[in-house]
Amino acid sequence: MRSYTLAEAVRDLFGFKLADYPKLKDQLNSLVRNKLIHMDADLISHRNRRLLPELELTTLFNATLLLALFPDPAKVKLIFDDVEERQKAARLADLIVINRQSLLEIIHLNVNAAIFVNVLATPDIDLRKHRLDNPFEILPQILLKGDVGLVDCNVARSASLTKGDSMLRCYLDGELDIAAQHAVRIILAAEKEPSELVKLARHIEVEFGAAKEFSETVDLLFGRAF
Amino acid sequence: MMLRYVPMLLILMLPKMVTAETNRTTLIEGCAEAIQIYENNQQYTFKAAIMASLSEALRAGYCKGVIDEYDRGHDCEGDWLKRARYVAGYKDQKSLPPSTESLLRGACQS
Repeated sequence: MRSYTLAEAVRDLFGFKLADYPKLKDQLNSLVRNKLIHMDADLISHRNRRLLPELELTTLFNATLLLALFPDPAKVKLIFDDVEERQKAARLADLIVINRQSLLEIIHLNVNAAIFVNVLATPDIDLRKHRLDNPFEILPQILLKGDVGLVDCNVARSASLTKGDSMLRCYLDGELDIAAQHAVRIILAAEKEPSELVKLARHIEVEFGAAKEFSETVDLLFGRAF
Repeated sequence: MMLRYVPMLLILMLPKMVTAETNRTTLIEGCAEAIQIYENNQQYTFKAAIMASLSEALRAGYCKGVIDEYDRGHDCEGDWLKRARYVAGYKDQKSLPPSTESLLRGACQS
Protein backbone atom coordinates (compact mmCIF):
# COMPACT_ATOMS: atom_id res chain seq x y z
CA MET A 1 0.00 0.00 0.00
CA ARG A 2 1.22 3.43 -0.88
CA SER A 3 2.27 6.00 1.67
CA TYR A 4 2.16 9.71 1.20
CA THR A 5 3.68 12.77 2.73
CA LEU A 6 1.05 15.36 3.68
CA ALA A 7 2.00 17.48 0.67
CA GLU A 8 1.64 14.54 -1.73
CA ALA A 9 -1.69 13.57 -0.25
CA VAL A 10 -3.10 17.09 -0.55
CA ARG A 11 -1.85 17.36 -4.12
CA ASP A 12 -3.49 14.06 -5.05
CA LEU A 13 -6.77 14.86 -3.26
CA PHE A 14 -7.25 18.51 -4.09
CA GLY A 15 -4.65 19.32 -6.72
CA PHE A 16 -2.83 22.20 -5.06
CA LYS A 17 0.55 22.72 -3.44
CA LEU A 18 0.29 22.59 0.35
CA ALA A 19 3.45 24.67 0.75
CA ASP A 20 1.58 27.64 -0.76
CA TYR A 21 -0.96 27.58 2.05
CA PRO A 22 1.00 27.65 5.31
CA LYS A 23 -2.12 28.18 7.39
CA LEU A 24 -3.72 24.99 6.09
CA LYS A 25 -0.39 23.18 6.53
CA ASP A 26 -0.31 24.25 10.19
CA GLN A 27 -3.88 23.11 10.68
CA LEU A 28 -3.20 19.72 9.11
CA ASN A 29 -0.06 19.29 11.23
CA SER A 30 -2.16 20.08 14.29
CA LEU A 31 -4.54 17.32 13.24
CA VAL A 32 -1.59 14.94 13.07
CA ARG A 33 -0.45 16.07 16.54
CA ASN A 34 -3.91 15.70 18.04
CA LYS A 35 -3.98 12.24 16.46
CA LEU A 36 -7.01 12.67 14.27
CA ILE A 37 -4.77 11.80 11.35
CA HIS A 38 -2.42 8.89 11.99
CA MET A 39 0.96 9.01 10.35
CA ASP A 40 3.61 6.31 10.43
CA ALA A 41 7.31 6.85 10.87
CA ASP A 42 9.16 6.69 7.58
CA LEU A 43 10.96 3.34 7.86
CA ILE A 44 12.45 3.39 4.40
CA SER A 45 14.51 6.55 4.25
CA HIS A 46 14.97 6.70 8.05
CA ARG A 47 14.77 10.45 7.78
CA ASN A 48 12.92 12.20 10.54
CA ARG A 49 9.61 12.41 8.70
CA ARG A 50 6.32 10.68 8.86
CA LEU A 51 4.19 9.17 6.15
CA LEU A 52 0.46 9.00 5.71
CA PRO A 53 -0.87 5.50 4.95
CA GLU A 54 -3.33 5.32 2.08
CA LEU A 55 -6.10 4.33 4.53
CA GLU A 56 -5.86 7.76 6.15
CA LEU A 57 -6.57 9.65 2.92
CA THR A 58 -10.31 9.72 3.59
CA THR A 59 -9.80 11.14 7.06
CA LEU A 60 -7.50 13.79 5.63
CA PHE A 61 -9.98 14.63 2.87
CA ASN A 62 -12.91 15.00 5.24
CA ALA A 63 -10.85 16.91 7.78
CA THR A 64 -9.77 19.42 5.12
CA LEU A 65 -13.36 20.04 4.08
CA LEU A 66 -14.40 20.49 7.70
CA LEU A 67 -11.49 22.89 8.26
CA ALA A 68 -13.06 25.10 5.60
CA LEU A 69 -16.03 25.57 7.88
CA PHE A 70 -14.37 25.18 11.26
CA PRO A 71 -10.78 26.47 11.25
CA ASP A 72 -10.04 25.11 14.73
CA PRO A 73 -8.34 21.65 14.43
CA ALA A 74 -9.49 20.69 17.94
CA LYS A 75 -13.07 21.31 16.85
CA VAL A 76 -12.58 19.20 13.73
CA LYS A 77 -11.26 16.32 15.82
CA LEU A 78 -14.32 16.61 18.07
CA ILE A 79 -16.63 16.42 15.04
CA PHE A 80 -15.05 13.08 14.14
CA ASP A 81 -15.24 11.67 17.66
CA ASP A 82 -18.23 13.24 19.38
CA VAL A 83 -21.72 12.55 18.02
CA GLU A 84 -23.24 15.62 19.63
CA GLU A 85 -20.50 17.88 18.31
CA ARG A 86 -21.01 16.37 14.87
CA GLN A 87 -24.74 17.08 14.95
CA LYS A 88 -24.01 20.68 15.93
CA ALA A 89 -21.55 21.01 13.08
CA ALA A 90 -24.08 19.56 10.65
CA ARG A 91 -26.67 22.11 11.73
CA LEU A 92 -24.21 24.96 11.24
CA ALA A 93 -23.08 23.60 7.87
CA ASP A 94 -26.74 23.36 6.88
CA LEU A 95 -27.27 27.00 7.79
CA ILE A 96 -24.40 27.98 5.56
CA VAL A 97 -25.49 25.77 2.68
CA ILE A 98 -29.12 26.85 2.92
CA ASN A 99 -28.01 30.44 3.25
CA ARG A 100 -25.95 30.16 0.16
CA GLN A 101 -27.23 33.32 -1.52
CA SER A 102 -25.33 35.49 0.92
CA LEU A 103 -22.17 33.46 0.31
CA LEU A 104 -22.48 33.00 -3.39
CA GLU A 105 -19.92 35.59 -4.30
CA ILE A 106 -17.27 34.21 -1.98
CA ILE A 107 -17.65 30.50 -2.38
CA HIS A 108 -19.27 28.58 -5.18
CA LEU A 109 -21.10 25.81 -3.42
CA ASN A 110 -22.02 23.07 -5.83
CA VAL A 111 -24.83 20.51 -5.86
CA ASN A 112 -22.94 18.28 -3.45
CA ALA A 113 -23.61 20.76 -0.66
CA ALA A 114 -26.85 19.16 0.45
CA ILE A 115 -25.33 15.65 0.37
CA PHE A 116 -22.38 16.95 2.38
CA VAL A 117 -24.72 18.21 5.09
CA ASN A 118 -26.80 15.03 5.01
CA VAL A 119 -23.83 12.73 5.48
CA LEU A 120 -22.44 14.96 8.18
CA ALA A 121 -25.79 14.79 9.98
CA THR A 122 -25.82 10.97 9.89
CA PRO A 123 -23.59 9.78 12.77
CA ASP A 124 -23.68 6.15 11.51
CA ILE A 125 -21.53 7.08 8.55
CA ASP A 126 -17.91 6.81 9.62
CA LEU A 127 -16.00 9.92 8.59
CA ARG A 128 -12.78 7.91 8.63
CA LYS A 129 -14.08 5.53 5.98
CA HIS A 130 -16.64 7.45 3.96
CA ARG A 131 -15.52 10.40 1.92
CA LEU A 132 -17.79 13.44 2.19
CA ASP A 133 -19.04 15.02 -1.03
CA ASN A 134 -16.97 18.11 -1.62
CA PRO A 135 -19.47 21.00 -1.49
CA PHE A 136 -16.94 23.51 -2.78
CA GLU A 137 -15.89 24.18 -6.33
CA ILE A 138 -12.76 25.80 -4.96
CA LEU A 139 -11.59 25.03 -1.46
CA PRO A 140 -12.34 28.10 0.69
CA GLN A 141 -8.89 27.81 2.24
CA ILE A 142 -7.43 28.62 -1.17
CA LEU A 143 -9.76 31.53 -1.82
CA LEU A 144 -9.55 33.02 1.64
CA LYS A 145 -5.90 32.12 2.32
CA GLY A 146 -5.78 33.62 5.81
CA ASP A 147 -7.19 32.16 8.98
CA VAL A 148 -10.79 33.23 8.38
CA GLY A 149 -13.26 30.40 8.34
CA LEU A 150 -16.37 30.37 6.25
CA VAL A 151 -18.48 30.96 9.35
CA ASP A 152 -16.64 34.19 10.21
CA CYS A 153 -16.92 35.19 6.60
CA ASN A 154 -20.65 34.69 6.69
CA VAL A 155 -20.97 36.90 9.75
CA ALA A 156 -18.86 39.62 8.15
CA ARG A 157 -20.91 39.37 5.03
CA SER A 158 -24.25 39.67 6.83
CA ALA A 159 -22.91 42.78 8.50
CA SER A 160 -21.86 44.29 5.19
CA LEU A 161 -25.24 43.46 3.70
CA THR A 162 -27.25 45.54 6.17
CA LYS A 163 -26.99 48.62 3.98
CA GLY A 164 -28.41 46.72 1.03
CA ASP A 165 -30.99 45.11 3.28
CA SER A 166 -32.51 48.40 4.41
CA MET A 167 -32.69 49.53 0.80
CA LEU A 168 -34.38 46.29 -0.23
CA ARG A 169 -36.77 46.39 2.71
CA CYS A 170 -37.90 49.95 1.86
CA TYR A 171 -38.26 48.95 -1.78
CA LEU A 172 -40.42 45.93 -0.96
CA ASP A 173 -42.48 47.99 1.47
CA GLY A 174 -43.23 50.46 -1.33
CA GLU A 175 -41.13 53.24 0.24
CA LEU A 176 -39.62 53.97 -3.16
CA ASP A 177 -38.27 57.41 -2.25
CA ILE A 178 -36.38 56.17 0.81
CA ALA A 179 -35.12 53.12 -1.10
CA ALA A 180 -33.91 55.51 -3.82
CA GLN A 181 -32.03 57.58 -1.24
CA HIS A 182 -30.20 54.41 -0.11
CA ALA A 183 -29.63 53.53 -3.76
CA VAL A 184 -27.95 56.87 -4.51
CA ARG A 185 -25.48 56.29 -1.67
CA ILE A 186 -24.69 52.78 -2.90
CA ILE A 187 -24.24 53.92 -6.50
CA LEU A 188 -21.90 56.71 -5.38
CA ALA A 189 -19.66 54.08 -3.76
CA ALA A 190 -20.23 51.57 -6.57
CA GLU A 191 -16.63 50.31 -6.67
CA LYS A 192 -16.70 49.39 -3.01
CA GLU A 193 -20.03 47.58 -3.07
CA PRO A 194 -20.83 44.07 -4.35
CA SER A 195 -21.91 44.20 -7.99
CA GLU A 196 -25.33 42.61 -7.29
CA LEU A 197 -26.08 45.32 -4.76
CA VAL A 198 -25.15 48.06 -7.25
CA LYS A 199 -27.38 46.41 -9.86
CA LEU A 200 -30.25 46.38 -7.39
CA ALA A 201 -29.59 50.04 -6.51
CA ARG A 202 -29.65 51.04 -10.19
CA HIS A 203 -32.86 49.12 -10.70
CA ILE A 204 -34.49 50.93 -7.77
CA GLU A 205 -33.29 54.27 -9.09
CA VAL A 206 -34.87 53.56 -12.47
CA GLU A 207 -38.11 52.45 -10.80
CA PHE A 208 -38.23 55.63 -8.73
CA GLY A 209 -37.62 57.74 -11.82
CA ALA A 210 -40.42 55.94 -13.65
CA ALA A 211 -42.79 56.39 -10.69
CA LYS A 212 -42.12 60.14 -10.55
CA GLU A 213 -42.66 60.38 -14.29
CA PHE A 214 -45.93 58.46 -13.97
CA SER A 215 -47.16 60.89 -11.33
CA GLU A 216 -46.25 63.87 -13.51
CA THR A 217 -48.00 62.29 -16.47
CA VAL A 218 -51.15 61.72 -14.44
CA ASP A 219 -50.99 65.37 -13.34
CA LEU A 220 -50.62 66.47 -16.93
CA LEU A 221 -53.31 64.28 -18.47
CA PHE A 222 -55.83 64.01 -15.67
CA GLY A 223 -55.27 67.43 -14.18
CA ARG A 224 -54.36 68.24 -10.64
CA ALA A 225 -56.73 69.62 -8.04
CA PHE A 226 -55.22 72.36 -5.92
CA MET B 1 -87.31 36.01 -50.16
CA MET B 2 -85.29 38.60 -48.25
CA LEU B 3 -85.78 36.71 -44.98
CA ARG B 4 -83.17 34.14 -45.86
CA TYR B 5 -80.54 36.88 -45.79
CA VAL B 6 -81.26 37.75 -42.17
CA PRO B 7 -79.00 35.11 -40.56
CA MET B 8 -76.22 36.09 -42.95
CA LEU B 9 -76.67 39.74 -42.00
CA LEU B 10 -76.51 38.89 -38.32
CA ILE B 11 -73.28 36.97 -38.84
CA LEU B 12 -71.80 39.92 -40.71
CA MET B 13 -72.81 42.27 -37.91
CA LEU B 14 -71.47 40.01 -35.16
CA PRO B 15 -67.86 41.31 -35.12
CA LYS B 16 -69.14 44.88 -34.89
CA MET B 17 -71.43 44.02 -31.99
CA VAL B 18 -68.61 42.23 -30.18
CA THR B 19 -66.29 45.19 -30.67
CA ALA B 20 -68.90 47.59 -29.37
CA GLU B 21 -69.43 45.37 -26.34
CA THR B 22 -65.68 45.19 -25.65
CA ASN B 23 -65.36 48.95 -26.02
CA ARG B 24 -68.19 49.60 -23.59
CA THR B 25 -66.95 47.35 -20.80
CA THR B 26 -63.36 48.43 -21.35
CA LEU B 27 -64.51 52.02 -21.17
CA ILE B 28 -66.37 51.42 -17.91
CA GLU B 29 -63.42 49.55 -16.36
CA GLY B 30 -60.99 52.12 -17.69
CA CYS B 31 -62.94 55.02 -16.20
CA ALA B 32 -63.09 53.26 -12.81
CA GLU B 33 -59.32 52.82 -12.98
CA ALA B 34 -58.76 56.38 -14.17
CA ILE B 35 -60.59 57.71 -11.11
CA GLN B 36 -58.62 55.36 -8.85
CA ILE B 37 -55.30 56.46 -10.37
CA TYR B 38 -56.33 60.12 -10.23
CA GLU B 39 -57.20 59.82 -6.54
CA ASN B 40 -54.08 57.79 -5.72
CA ASN B 41 -51.95 60.43 -7.42
CA GLN B 42 -53.65 63.18 -5.44
CA GLN B 43 -53.05 61.35 -2.20
CA TYR B 44 -49.78 59.45 -2.66
CA THR B 45 -48.07 61.18 -5.65
CA PHE B 46 -45.28 58.90 -7.00
CA LYS B 47 -46.55 55.89 -5.06
CA ALA B 48 -49.57 55.87 -7.38
CA ALA B 49 -47.22 54.22 -9.89
CA ILE B 50 -46.82 51.10 -7.74
CA MET B 51 -50.53 50.95 -7.07
CA ALA B 52 -51.55 50.59 -10.71
CA SER B 53 -50.55 47.88 -13.16
CA LEU B 54 -49.50 48.67 -16.71
CA SER B 55 -52.83 47.48 -18.13
CA GLU B 56 -54.81 49.47 -15.56
CA ALA B 57 -52.90 52.60 -16.54
CA LEU B 58 -53.45 51.86 -20.21
CA ARG B 59 -57.21 51.37 -19.72
CA ALA B 60 -57.37 54.57 -17.65
CA GLY B 61 -55.72 56.47 -20.50
CA TYR B 62 -58.21 54.91 -22.92
CA CYS B 63 -61.12 56.23 -20.81
CA LYS B 64 -59.66 59.74 -20.70
CA GLY B 65 -59.03 59.68 -24.45
CA VAL B 66 -62.57 58.53 -25.32
CA ILE B 67 -64.17 61.12 -23.03
CA ASP B 68 -61.98 63.94 -24.40
CA GLU B 69 -62.77 62.90 -27.93
CA TYR B 70 -66.53 62.86 -27.22
CA ASP B 71 -66.20 66.34 -25.69
CA ARG B 72 -64.73 67.71 -28.92
CA GLY B 73 -67.90 66.97 -30.86
CA HIS B 74 -70.47 67.64 -28.16
CA ASP B 75 -71.29 70.40 -25.75
CA CYS B 76 -70.82 68.82 -22.32
CA GLU B 77 -71.12 70.35 -18.89
CA GLY B 78 -68.52 70.01 -16.11
CA ASP B 79 -65.14 68.32 -16.15
CA TRP B 80 -64.00 64.93 -17.42
CA LEU B 81 -63.80 63.55 -13.88
CA LYS B 82 -67.54 63.94 -13.42
CA ARG B 83 -68.21 62.13 -16.70
CA ALA B 84 -65.69 59.41 -15.85
CA ARG B 85 -67.47 58.87 -12.53
CA TYR B 86 -70.78 58.56 -14.39
CA VAL B 87 -69.34 55.91 -16.74
CA ALA B 88 -67.57 54.09 -13.90
CA GLY B 89 -70.89 54.03 -12.05
CA TYR B 90 -71.96 51.23 -14.43
CA LYS B 91 -69.11 49.00 -13.28
CA ASP B 92 -71.08 46.55 -11.17
CA GLN B 93 -74.44 47.08 -12.81
CA LYS B 94 -76.18 44.29 -14.64
CA SER B 95 -77.93 46.36 -17.31
CA LEU B 96 -75.71 48.64 -19.35
CA PRO B 97 -76.73 51.40 -21.78
CA PRO B 98 -77.26 49.83 -25.23
CA SER B 99 -74.11 51.33 -26.75
CA THR B 100 -70.94 53.22 -26.04
CA GLU B 101 -72.54 56.21 -27.74
CA SER B 102 -75.51 56.21 -25.37
CA LEU B 103 -73.20 55.67 -22.41
CA LEU B 104 -71.16 58.74 -23.39
CA ARG B 105 -74.27 60.76 -24.12
CA GLY B 106 -75.55 59.97 -20.62
CA ALA B 107 -72.19 61.01 -19.16
CA CYS B 108 -72.26 64.27 -21.12
CA GLN B 109 -75.74 65.16 -19.89
CA SER B 110 -75.12 64.14 -16.26
